[in-house]
Amino acid sequence: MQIIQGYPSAGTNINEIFKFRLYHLNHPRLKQWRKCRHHNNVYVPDTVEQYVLDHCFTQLIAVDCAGWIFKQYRLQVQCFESDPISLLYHRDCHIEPDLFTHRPTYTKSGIVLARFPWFLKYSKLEEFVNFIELWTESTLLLNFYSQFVQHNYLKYDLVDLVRNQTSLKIEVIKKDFWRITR
Amino acid sequence: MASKNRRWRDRQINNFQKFQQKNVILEQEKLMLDFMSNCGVINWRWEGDHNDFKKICASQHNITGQEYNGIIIFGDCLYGHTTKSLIAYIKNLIENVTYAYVGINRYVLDRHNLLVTLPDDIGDSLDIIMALCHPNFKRLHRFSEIDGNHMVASHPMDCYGLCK
Repeated sequence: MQIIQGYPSAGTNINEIFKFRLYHLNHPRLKQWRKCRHHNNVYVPDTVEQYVLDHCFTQLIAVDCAGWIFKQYRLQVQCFESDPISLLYHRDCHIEPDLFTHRPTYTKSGIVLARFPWFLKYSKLEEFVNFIELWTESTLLLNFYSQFVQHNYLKYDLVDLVRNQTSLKIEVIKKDFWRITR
Repeated sequence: MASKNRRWRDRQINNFQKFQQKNVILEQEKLMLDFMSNCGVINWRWEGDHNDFKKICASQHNITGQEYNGIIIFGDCLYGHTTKSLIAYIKNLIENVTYAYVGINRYVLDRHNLLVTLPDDIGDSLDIIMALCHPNFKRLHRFSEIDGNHMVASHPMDCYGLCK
């Protein structure tokens, strides 16, 4: 009987189709967007996308969240992704393997949007704080599963714990969507 | 989320099986099988997810649920509970058995609504919650990060064993 601890320990025996499926797990709205393009339907923005559009951000830095979707709204977007599969969707993506702890020096200044930063899942509180410190130059829009950042959510709100550890200003737009500014 | 996890468990494992051997299980599933083996030869009731792992388990243990003295609890049935409803649910299930295994994903509880002050650490909090289900519940392993993003069905569970 073989025991699997995770994909890294299981080696590289994952076929391309399955890698593609996993990629779409990290980009939950992407399939919908693709279908719309194929069938000529109108893509309906979700609440995070609508927030960006409503607040007239003209220049975005998108972190691991299929930021090229915003190009259809004529926004200037610099896209960062950690998975090279992204290049199948958008050739101008910057592929950076560790967006969690590394901000590339060639990043433009501007509003940063982390629309579905999967790498925050199971991150420790201090790692999470480091991430928002790293990516908040002026404004960081962060859409994430706050419950999955390691903390006792049965006892504390994550935002209270984070506010104790950073001087950044955090506005909770809704539970899992924060606007963070310097 | 729960049913998605159940489906993904088999899809992920089957994907590995194409390249490797049959009867592939996840680490936390091995933990459960070891616990069952240590309890000796008894009949079990299955309150876990109905996926391929159940078939593997059935090949090694009697999980028909007839005249059972042990119970397996994990997966969908533990999603979305408050701390209060979780305790009531587990207490009810383990009432008439000697052995129990509970594998719970620490991130799926809805909220805390007991008149008990929880410690700062969520792992310690779960220990207290399980002790309220039955004082003999022992933690089988501690949370550790395992490829949390991709192994959808392999959320690092907090697993507890009960031997009354």
